[in-house]
Amino acid sequence: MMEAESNSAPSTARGPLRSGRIVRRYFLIFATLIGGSLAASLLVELGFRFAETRQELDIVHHQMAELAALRIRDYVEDISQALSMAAMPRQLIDDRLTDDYLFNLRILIRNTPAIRDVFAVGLDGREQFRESRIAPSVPNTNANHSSDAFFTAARAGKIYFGPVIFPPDSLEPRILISVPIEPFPGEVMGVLAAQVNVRYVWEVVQGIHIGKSGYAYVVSDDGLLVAHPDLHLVLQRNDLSSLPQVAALRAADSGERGTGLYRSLTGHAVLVSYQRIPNVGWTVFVERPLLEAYAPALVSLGRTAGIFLAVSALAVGAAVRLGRRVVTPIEALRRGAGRLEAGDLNARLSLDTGDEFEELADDFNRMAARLQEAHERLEQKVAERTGELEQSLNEVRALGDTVQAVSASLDLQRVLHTIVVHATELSRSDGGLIYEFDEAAQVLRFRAGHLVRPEFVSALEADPPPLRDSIIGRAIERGQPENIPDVKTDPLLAHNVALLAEGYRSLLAVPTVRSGRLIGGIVLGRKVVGGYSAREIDLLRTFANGCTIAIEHARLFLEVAQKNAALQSASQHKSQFLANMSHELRTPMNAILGFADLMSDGIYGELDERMRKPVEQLQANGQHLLRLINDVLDLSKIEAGRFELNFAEYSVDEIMEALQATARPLAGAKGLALRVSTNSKAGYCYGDSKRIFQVLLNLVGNAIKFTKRGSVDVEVFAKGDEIYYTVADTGIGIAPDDLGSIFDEFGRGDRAVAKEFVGTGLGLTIAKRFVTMHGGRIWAESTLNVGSKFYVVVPRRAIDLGLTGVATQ
Amino acid sequence: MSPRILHVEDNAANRMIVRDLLEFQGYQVVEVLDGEQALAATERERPDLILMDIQLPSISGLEATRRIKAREHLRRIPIVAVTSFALSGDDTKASEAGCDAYIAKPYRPRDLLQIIQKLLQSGSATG
Repeated sequence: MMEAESNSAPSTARGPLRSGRIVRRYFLIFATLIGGSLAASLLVELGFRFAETRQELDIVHHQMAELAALRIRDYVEDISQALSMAAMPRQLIDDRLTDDYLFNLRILIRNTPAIRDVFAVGLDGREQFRESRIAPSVPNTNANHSSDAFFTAARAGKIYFGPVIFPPDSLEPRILISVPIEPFPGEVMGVLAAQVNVRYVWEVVQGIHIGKSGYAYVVSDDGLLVAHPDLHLVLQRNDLSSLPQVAALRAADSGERGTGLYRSLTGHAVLVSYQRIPNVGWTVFVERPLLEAYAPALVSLGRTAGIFLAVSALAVGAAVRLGRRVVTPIEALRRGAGRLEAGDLNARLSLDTGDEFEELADDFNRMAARLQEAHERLEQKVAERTGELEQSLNEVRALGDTVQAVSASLDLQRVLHTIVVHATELSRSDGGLIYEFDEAAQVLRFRAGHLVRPEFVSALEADPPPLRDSIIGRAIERGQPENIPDVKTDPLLAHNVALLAEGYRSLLAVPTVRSGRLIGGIVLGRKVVGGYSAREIDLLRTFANGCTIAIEHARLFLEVAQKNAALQSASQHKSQFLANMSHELRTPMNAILGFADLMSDGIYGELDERMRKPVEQLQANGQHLLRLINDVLDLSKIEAGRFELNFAEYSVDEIMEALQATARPLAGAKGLALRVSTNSKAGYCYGDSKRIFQVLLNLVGNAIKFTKRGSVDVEVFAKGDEIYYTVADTGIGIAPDDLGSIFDEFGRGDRAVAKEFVGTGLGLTIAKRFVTMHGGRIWAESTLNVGSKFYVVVPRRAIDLGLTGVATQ
Repeated sequence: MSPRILHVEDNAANRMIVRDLLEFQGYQVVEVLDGEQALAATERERPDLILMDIQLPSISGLEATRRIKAREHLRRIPIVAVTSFALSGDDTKASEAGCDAYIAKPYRPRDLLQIIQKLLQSGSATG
């Protein structure tokens, strides 16, 4: 969690990474520049050094090889020359060598120590003379050499150098050298051959030392090792033709000399130089181990590498120091900037690097100081604005509270009093008055005051402010608040003296206008000179505007309350009237009907025929009047919303059975067929069964009443959530024009017809009311002189709307 | 001895009807005009049944009924409330006050007679 947080903070997470990058970059640049150039020069130096060394070494080595070759050649040539000199016969007899030739040979052997044996061969190839150093006076072998190479070469006039021979009886290698014996040029008369000890060659080779372990050796053209410092190798008769350097020499036809890098017999890397000795067919090889040859170069190389490393280390150190020198101030700057960013405006830098960084730090500090200053100014401003805002808010809140308090009451006098109290306190005035404009009298009437003496109030009440010269009058005239900073300087002002006597010096009047209609105004006073600030005036104007609504509401409420009271008393009167009428009508009705009944029952003696009819009329009309009274009462109660339905569960079929039982005698009396469906299976419903029954009975009663012949059919069925009742008759029917009004009070069809049939004319009206109160509907279909059909539809479950029922239409 | 019935009623015509009807049927009828008299008459006459009009001057019929029913020795006397208010709830008020039956004006004399006969029968059966 902590890590996540620190990672999410940009300044702390990125910082070290960045400076690390700089150090690394600087280091890399330095290392690449210095190290690279050093390494490059080193490599170049190395290359040149090795090449030069090699060149020098090759020259030296080759000189040695050449020298050795020269010495060997001279040696061999000396011998061959001595041989040639000795070959010249001092005497010739018959073109044959004489015996004194042997003497020649003896001198030769004595003068030339390298010659071991010497012998002369005649043209026929037969050996004629022989002289030996080891065994003097050896007999002539008389061997035939006519097919030997040395004989044929010398016979042809050439000097012949034979291959190296290692005789089994000696440790010294020998070669055979032969020269022609020609006393005159072109006249060969024999061949002189000598066995030459080439030990001297070995001595020459052994005398060559190059460096510590450089050496030379000689190889013949046929690959045989002729001379080597290690004599054993020579004696082993090593064939070196497979050695790369020898092979290379033999491959290069024209190569009399050369150099190269090869491997020695012992497998070491060696620098090789060689020089061929043409007349003998030998080659001198000078070899030196590579390591030894290059040792001085390597030592020098080591020194150079050491210097390189030292310089590199210095370079790295310098790079790091320089990097630090650059990065440390940058890091300090960055940290400072980070602190600024984090809101620490006290962040300052102290860099005394004495360079641009220090200047930068100074700039940074100046910037931070300015930022801090700006921030402080800003904070101060914010604090000021916040203060102002808070003040405004408090004022608005006070205003809201005040307007709410004012609006809390609907009593006009109380509203006005609350307004003047709040206006006085809101403006911190020393007194306040509120006036109401009497439109009829065109006069401002004092309505309430706050912090004013009663004596002053009564004085004001006695003398209403004139509409022109009073402060409130001026405010009303201008439609703007009127501000008087000093009453003393305004002698024309009405009540000037009285106001000054009360101590008021500053005055402010604010008119209250609602929808362009003058309602009145508020007057406020202070007992100091100076008047009210624009801000206070604004506040009071807003307040006054808010209050006009409250005043208007209170005025309206007063009006409504007055009207309502009148209505209520009217309604009460009506109810009382109904109750009284009910009582007052029923009491005499009871007497009239009671006496008629008693008379009809014969309590006062048997009635004679003449009296019976009038008594019956008395009874019938009395009953009719009673029904009328009852219906009117019912209707009045319904219209007044005082008729209560008694909602309960009821059975549709029970209603139908009761209907049948009640209506059957009526229908029977007129000879009509009455069919009532009593098996609706509609089950139980919710509603006022007594009223539904009353409605249906009314319809059935009407149907029987208006039908002379035929039948009355009552049916019931459930459809959806509703119960449908229908009452159909075969009576006189209703004219289409009258169908719409039959449910209105006294709206029975044709008046002539109505007169013929007895009824109150209120039954259908009441029926409709009851049905409507159930949330149902009632209507009729009819054809004149054919019959009528009434429909009553009520919800299966009526919604009880409460005790008052529905005061409809 | 024929049953004695106390009729409390302020309307002369209605008093006359009841008297004519009941005397014709063989009852004795005692008449008073208001609730206060009704209380005294009940105490004095000990009637077998009281016909009490509800709307009366001075104390109402309901109040008179309550007072009569409050007295142990008078409690058994059946009282029939007679009212001219057809407003719903009158019957409830009457029975709450202690009335044993209720009939609304205008009533048919024979209906009143039926109620009286029924109450007297059940009263003599139990008492």
